[in-house]
Formats: sequence, C-alpha cells, structure tokens
Amino acid sequence: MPMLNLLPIFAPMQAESTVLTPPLSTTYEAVIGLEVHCQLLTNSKMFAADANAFGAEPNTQVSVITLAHPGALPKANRVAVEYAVRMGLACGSAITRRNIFARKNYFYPDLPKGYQLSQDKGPICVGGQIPVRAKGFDGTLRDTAIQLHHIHLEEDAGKSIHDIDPNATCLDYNRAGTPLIEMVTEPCLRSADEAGQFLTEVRRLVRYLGICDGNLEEGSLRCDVNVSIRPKGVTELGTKVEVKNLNSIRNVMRAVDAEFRRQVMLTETGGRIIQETRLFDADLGQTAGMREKETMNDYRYFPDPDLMPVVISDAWLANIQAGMPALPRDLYHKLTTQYGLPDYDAALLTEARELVEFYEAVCAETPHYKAASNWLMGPVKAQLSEKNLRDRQFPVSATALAALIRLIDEGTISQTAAQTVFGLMVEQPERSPAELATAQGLLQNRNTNDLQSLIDGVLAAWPDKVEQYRKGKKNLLGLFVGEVMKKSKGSADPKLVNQLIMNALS
Amino acid sequence: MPYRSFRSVQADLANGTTTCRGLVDDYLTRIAENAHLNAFTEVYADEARQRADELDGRRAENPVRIGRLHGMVIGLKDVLSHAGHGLQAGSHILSGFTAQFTATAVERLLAEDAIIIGRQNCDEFAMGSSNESSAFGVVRNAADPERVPGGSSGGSAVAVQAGLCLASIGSDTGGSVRQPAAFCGVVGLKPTYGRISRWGLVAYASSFDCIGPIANTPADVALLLEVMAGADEFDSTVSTRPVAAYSQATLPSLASGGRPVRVAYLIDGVESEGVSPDIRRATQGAIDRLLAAGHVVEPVSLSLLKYLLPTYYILTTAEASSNLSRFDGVRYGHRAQPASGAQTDLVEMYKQSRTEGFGPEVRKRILLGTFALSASYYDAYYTKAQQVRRLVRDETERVFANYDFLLTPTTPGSAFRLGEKSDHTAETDPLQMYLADIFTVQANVTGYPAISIPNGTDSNGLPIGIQLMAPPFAEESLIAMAERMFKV
Amino acid sequence: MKVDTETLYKIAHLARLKVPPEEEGQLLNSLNSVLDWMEQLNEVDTTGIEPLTHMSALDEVDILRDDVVKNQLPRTQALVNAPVHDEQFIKVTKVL
Repeated sequence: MPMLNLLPIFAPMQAESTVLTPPLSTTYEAVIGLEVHCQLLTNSKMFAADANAFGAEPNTQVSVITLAHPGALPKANRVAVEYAVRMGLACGSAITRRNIFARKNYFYPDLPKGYQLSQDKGPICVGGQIPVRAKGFDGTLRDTAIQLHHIHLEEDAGKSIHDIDPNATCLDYNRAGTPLIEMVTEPCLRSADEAGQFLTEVRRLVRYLGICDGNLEEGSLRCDVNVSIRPKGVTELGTKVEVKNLNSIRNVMRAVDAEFRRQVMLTETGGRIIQETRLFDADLGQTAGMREKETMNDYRYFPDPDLMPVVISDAWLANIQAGMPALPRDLYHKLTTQYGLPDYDAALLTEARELVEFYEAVCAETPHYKAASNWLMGPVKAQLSEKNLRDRQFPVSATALAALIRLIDEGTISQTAAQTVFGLMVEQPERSPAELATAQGLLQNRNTNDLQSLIDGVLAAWPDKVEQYRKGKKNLLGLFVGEVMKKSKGSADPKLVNQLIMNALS
Repeated sequence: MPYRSFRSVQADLANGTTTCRGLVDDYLTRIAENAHLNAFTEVYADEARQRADELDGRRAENPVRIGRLHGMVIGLKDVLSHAGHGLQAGSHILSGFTAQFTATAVERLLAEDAIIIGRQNCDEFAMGSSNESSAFGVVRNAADPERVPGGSSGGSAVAVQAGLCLASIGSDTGGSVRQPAAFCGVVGLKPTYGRISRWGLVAYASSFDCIGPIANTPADVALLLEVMAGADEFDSTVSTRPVAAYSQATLPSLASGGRPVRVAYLIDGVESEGVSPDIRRATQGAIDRLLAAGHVVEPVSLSLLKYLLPTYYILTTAEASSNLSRFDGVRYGHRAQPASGAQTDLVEMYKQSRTEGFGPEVRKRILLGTFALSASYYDAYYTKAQQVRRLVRDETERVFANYDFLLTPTTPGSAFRLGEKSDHTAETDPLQMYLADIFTVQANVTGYPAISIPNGTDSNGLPIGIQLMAPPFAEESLIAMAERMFKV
Repeated sequence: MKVDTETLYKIAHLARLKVPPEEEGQLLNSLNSVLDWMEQLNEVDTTGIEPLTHMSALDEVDILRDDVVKNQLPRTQALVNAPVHDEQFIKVTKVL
C-alpha cells in the first residue's frame, strides 16, 4: 500500500455548520457514516455500449441489454474498472486483484433486470482514507483521516418520474446501467462539518482524477448518511438511522445536524430510536419517516454467472498508476515548496485541477509566483464560473496574464492601472496587455515634468490642506497623492508622486 | 419422403432434382399434415418461400458461391431471439413480444443461407422434460401421438423426427436437446459450455444453458455446430478457442477404420433397476458392438451420481429465479389489467402479471430458487450445491484421465404417456419427472459436451437413445465416434 | 429444512408471485419434497472445497469492452413492446 502524505488540506468552508451548546455536545457523540455514489464519466455504460451522457431525450440512450430483453447479456466496460482503481489508488485503498460481479435482486420499475449488477464480497477497493480538517459539534477544529470501508463498482437504475402524468409513473431508462462507484466510509465521522468537508474533498478528488463531475445538484454525486448517537465514552453503537434525499453538501450537513438533534432530543425525553430510513425535508430542515415503510429486503446476492472475473494484473495496475494525474496534496506540496506560496494560496489554488494547471502555465512565463497567485485568487477567479473552470475557459490566457505581471514588475504600469487593463483584457482577448495599456493611456507616467505640473495644480487647489500639512498633519500626503493619481487617470507612478510631493512641501 | 441427410439435399439441389422452394413447399405441406403434433408455434410460410425463391435465384446465377447451409431448412426453438419475429419461450408472459435483435447463433445460420421455417414449441422457459408445460399446449411424439416427445426442446425434436424440417436448433440446460432427441429417434448434441454464444438465448440457468443442434445424422449436427460455434463480442462467457472443422470429423475417410478408443460406461446404465429392461439391453448391445470392433470398453461408477440431480436443481432454480425477474409486465410482455375501478398498486400489478403469465412449473421453480438464495438458506443450499458441482467436475475429469468417452443410455426410460408424470392434481411424486434427466445432467453440471444418437427401439417400438460424453472442447472426436456408432 | 406457510408467503412476496389458496397445500408439499430431496447433498463432505461459480475456462478472464458507444436501440423500437407507453416514456401505475 502506498504511503500517503496525511497532511490534511484546509479547504474553505462551504456552509455554516452547527455548534451545539455544551451540555448536549459533551454528553452525546454522533456516529456518522456516509455512502457516496459517483457516476463515472465514461462514454458508454457499465455493462452495455449505450451512450452515458447527461440530458438526452428520454429513452434514446438504451439498448436490448439496458432494457433487459430476453436473451441479452452484459459485458463490462474496461474504462469504468480503471476509474474505480484510480479512486482506490488516490485514497490509498488496497486494490482487489480478482473482481467478481454479483446480482442484487429486487423489484422496481426503474430496475429492468429485476436485479442490479454490483459487487458483494470482494469490492474492487478495500479500505483507504481521506484526510479532512473540520469542526466537531463542540466547535473545536480537528484533523482526521476519514476511513473508508470500501469502494465498489455497480450500475445505476433508470429514472422514475412521478410528476409528468397524474395517473402514472413515467420511466426513462437513459440512466439505467450508468457506471457508478459507491464509497462507503466507516462510521467514523463525528459532526456535520466533517461530513461536509469529506464530501467536499471527495468532490475535489473525483474531479482531479477526471472520473466524475462531482455535482450533487445534478446527481452525478449522491450521498446518503447513517447517523446514530451514543453517550460519550461508550463504545457500543446505537441504533442506526439512514437519511436520504440529500441534494447538496449544505443539505447533507443540515440533515446530519437535524438527525443528531432529533436523536438526542428523543433520547433525552425517554423515547426510543427506531432503525429506519428517513427523508430530509430541505424546507423544514428536518428529517421525516417515510410514509411507506420500506420492508427489510433480502437481496439474495450471488455471483453473476454471465460476467467473467476481472483480474487486475501487475502490469495493468502499473499502467493505471502511471496514468494517474497529480493529486491535490501533491500539488499543494509543490506550490508551497517549489513556488514558495503560503498555505492559504496553495489551498485555494488546488481546489480544482484546472486552476492549479493554469497557475503553473502562468508561472512557466514569469517568476513572480506570488503575484501570479494573487491575480488568480482575485480577479481571475472572480470572472470564472464553475462551468468555465471545468471547460478551462479562462477569462484571460496564461501568456497574457504573465505579460501583465511583467508590465507591473517593469514599472510600465501601476498596480492600480493593471486592474483596469485586466478588465480590458477580458473584453478584448485578441489584444495584448501592452497594447491595451497604451491605447487607454494607462502607461505609468514617470516624467517628472508632467508629474510636477500635475502636483502644482493639485497643491494650488488645496491651499488650506497644504497649510495643515505644513503644520503637522502628515497623513494628508495620501490625499494629495490620490488627487494627482485621479488627475493622471491612474497613470502616474504613485511612489514617484509621493516623493515629489514630499519634496515640494518640505 | 422427407430428406434424412443434408448431403442428399445438396446432391439433389446440384443435380436439379429439387430447389429450395421445392424443399420449403414440401416441409410446409408436412407441417400442415402433422399439425396435431403441435411442434410449431409459428410457421413463417411466406417468409420461407420468399427466401427460398431468392436463394434459388442466387444459386442459378452462381452455383458455386452459395452458403454452407444453402438448402438447409431449419426450425428454431422458441427461446432464440430472431429480430422482427415473435419470441415467447413457450410462455404467456411474453405474449405479443417481438424480438429486437437476432441471436448470434441464428445470425451465423442465416449468413450461410439457412432457411428458417418457424418457431418451435417447447416447455415454458425450457423447464421440463416432456413438453407438457408449454402455454401453447402439449407436443406429441410422432412415433406415438399419445406419448410425450421429451423436453424441453420437444417441438424441435419432433419436427426433425416427422420430417417437418431438416434440422432444429434447441437449447440444453439439463438434457433438453438430448433427451427429446432420444425419445424421438434423432441425433441431438449439447456442445461444451461456452462453445456457442448465448447472446440471444432466453436465459434459464446461465451457467448451464447451451444451444444445441438436433438433426437426423451426426454429420448434419457437426456442420451446424461448425457454423454456429466460436468467439462472440456480445457474450462474456463464450470461449475464444478456435473452431475446429467439425464437419470433417464425419467424413467417411476419417470415421471408419479409426484407431481403437477407450470407452467408460456408467455401470448404472446396464445394471440399475431404475433403467428399463429394454434400455439396459440396448445399452449392453451397443457396448458389445464396440467391444467387437476392438475398442476398450470398461464399467465405471460415479460416486456422486445420486447427487447430480439435487445439485442441478438447486443451482438451476436459483439462477432461473433471478433470470426470470425481468418478466414483470413493465417494459414488455403480459401486464395484468387492474380489477375494474380499483387503483392497483405496483406490487399488486407485479404479482398479478407474473402469476397470470407464468405456468405452475415455472412458478414452482422460481419459488424453489428464491428459497435457495434467501439469506438464511444460501449457505445450506446454494453454496453447498456449488461445492458439490466442483466435486462432480473433478470426479468426471478423473474418469477422462483414463478414457476417451463416457457412455450411458440417454434416458432411463423411453417416451412415457402424456399426463403420466405431470399430473399436478394427483399426489404424484414430483420427483418422477426430474429423474428422467439422471444421465443427461452430468454434462450440464460439468460443462462437458455430450451427444445422443439413436440406439434401436423398445418392445413398444419407441426410440431409445445412447449418449456419449467427451472432455471439454473435444467435439471433433465426440462427433467422429458418434458417426462410427451411428453407421453400425 | 421445512417450508411452512409463513415462509411460503414470504418467499412468494420476494419473488412477486401470488399463491392461489387452492394451490397452497399442493405447493407446500411439492416444495418440501423437493427440498428434502435436495438435502441429500448434506451427505457429501465439502470441507475446504471452493464453490464453482464460473463455468468458462480459467484463463478466459478479463472479458472487457472498449468504452465505445454502439448498438443503441432507436426509441420507437425501445417502446414498441411496452404494454403502456407514449412517444417518450414507458408507463406504470404510480408507486403509491
């Protein structure tokens, strides 16, 4: 098993999470486990060659295999297997070398075969961990490695749509057979914030690996939580409650929070927690029991006789390992060492692979690493939507940004002027920063004669302030400099102006 | 008189005595005359005639460039998917279903100019040994219409027996090609598991199912095997081993005057009281002839013989219970109508559709299989049966370490009367029917190839079959040996 | 092991089958006979024997498909066999 750098990465918080008042948070401990499903970004489905794409017309991405016609047989997608292994390697899991697929038998209209092809014994990845830094319910920040129980491969079901026809459920099988990996954690999470951070990190990882969109709102990432409580110090597990219908990281956190509170309140008032599945109501911020009690299902798992074992040989594993992209923590390390960036910068830039790759492209053309980071974290990011980031549609090119940084460094334009030039670069990507600066008259003016005449004008306009300055109010220098900058439309070199004014008033 | 070998068909096509159209017309006439046998659930009269005309035209233009099955008129058991045609597996639950793709085996037959004349009756979902459990009614043995033809490929075997087509393609999960072939006096082959792609075969028990040809001679069966066999991108369980020239194995030069072989025979086949006296005698007769021809023929016993059937039934019912879950009335097939006025809930719809659509034997096996797989019993039944399966295969392998073939009667008895073993109302022993498979299941449990050829008749004039089994992928020698025995 | 009425109905529910009351007795008998018969397997010593799960040859593993889209069914063909459908969807009774 590869040695992992367990240095946890601080990621900006996604949402506020609960801090419980002392009596409750010191008496009870939340025991939380997560099951996360990730839809894999393959071209075709897990066991059939139909297209695996989002947003197509209903029932246009189907085949006789997907529809479970009599006589149809499954055949496994090689790339889906590789994507699962990639995730396992990224989490430091043990990779199962001989993989069997199993049938999970149950009846539902969106499950054409009457069984789901999944893995039962011997999931493709065993163990592993994902480090997070999060707050407990008592408000203290801690670093933990969230332990994975396993990751397994399976296929998704179709979609049942209940709100198109008042009298019937409409079935769309486009999604049926989509490849999924299911990640199951150990019940080692202890707070809503931990759950949120874990999911954030999973999302980041799958995007880094290029195996999944990581989008909870669109459904490419889905999460169910299992929550139980126990008095602090007790090692036995309490009754577990499953919560479903969580369509954002924020709602996952709110649901964990709500369920923890519910269980604590119930226990405190002498009630009993029932093992059940509850749904999260996002409007009310509460979990609710399901109207139709789900009967305990006997899935009758057995090895699928239509699919041969998938053996991950040494050569194949080495091949997958070699093709792995650099991981967030590796790039974080590179940014803090090779580029000398502070933790905050490194954390922010490594949020997305596309961002850090862009950063490196800029730094290939300029040695001003910190400046590059500042530009990326500020103006570039401000102009960048999620979608554009993923599509690598940056507001300016790496070369152009590097050129802009060079202009500032050379003193050709001031920092202030650069902000304006940046805005122009976004609008007119075909023109270089130098061109744009010149065209707008933003070249930093260092001509002492020009500046002197501006200074004279300003000082003449503010005689009483000049008087106050001479009497001791030295901070009025800023006002004078500001006025000169305004008059020069930002093109004056502020340092030089500062110096000249001081000379003039001394 | 119907043709009894493809060689004679080919000869008469070549010398102009007959045409494809002539052949089809004759078969259609005989099918109509023998409607009471109920061998076909659907006859493709117009389609077959059209195709025949087309083939005759092509042959006239170029007599040399014709497919290897040019002139072969074939029937397909109602478990083989054929695009644009009905597919029902002998069941009400697939009423009205039109197949949307063609089985690989069928595509290969069509690519060689075969003519498909119709869809043949069979036990529902291939579960049965007498063709008495089809939604389309019983099939009758042409040797005696009051008797069963065997099953589940009853219609396929009778069709060849009565000259309603030259060959049939059936499926064999526990003997369903060989047993009816024996009851009807024709030749039936179950190849090695994985030799022929299962893409397009309605699944009964996935790790047992094999497509198998039924014909009048080993030579015809060999040619069909050669055309259908081989690697296929759609089936993950198919073998990629090269396909031998099986049709060459029956050439006169090879079949006669071959070297002596070592044949083991199951002692139960000639000694057990469970085997009818006529069959014991006939089996002994075959043994004696082999000995006289200079072969080594020695008795063996299978210590696990009595466990073959329970192993078979646990595993096949378990796999079937899962394979048949897709028949729920949602995407195709029979969907129960809600009782008038009542808003039927989904679970009710599933139960009603499946209970109405499946016959009693299928429902029973689904229940058995569901039971075997259920959490509390999985290890006791399912796992146990899989372990015994391995032991059976190991023991069979040991037999073949010393012998080239294993010889048994195909069945313990000949064709029984309709209703004799299947009467559900009386307190008849439900196991009686299952015991008919005692000699055939070994080949399915182990995956080994086996062939049944005619071995005379019993005192009632009913056909008797004899079975030869060989090691995996040894169909060439199996067919060659069958040819030698067939000629005698 | 014996199947009692309660178990019979549980299994039937799992398999989404009804047990017509008039068939119940006969079905119980049939099932129990067959199960008794299947229990003969307990006579076989299977200690340490690996269950046989796949019948293809040991070296025929890694049967995998390239990640290429093909062989899709046009929607009309996908829907043509459905008992209830419109131009886009297959329909069933609402899940209550």
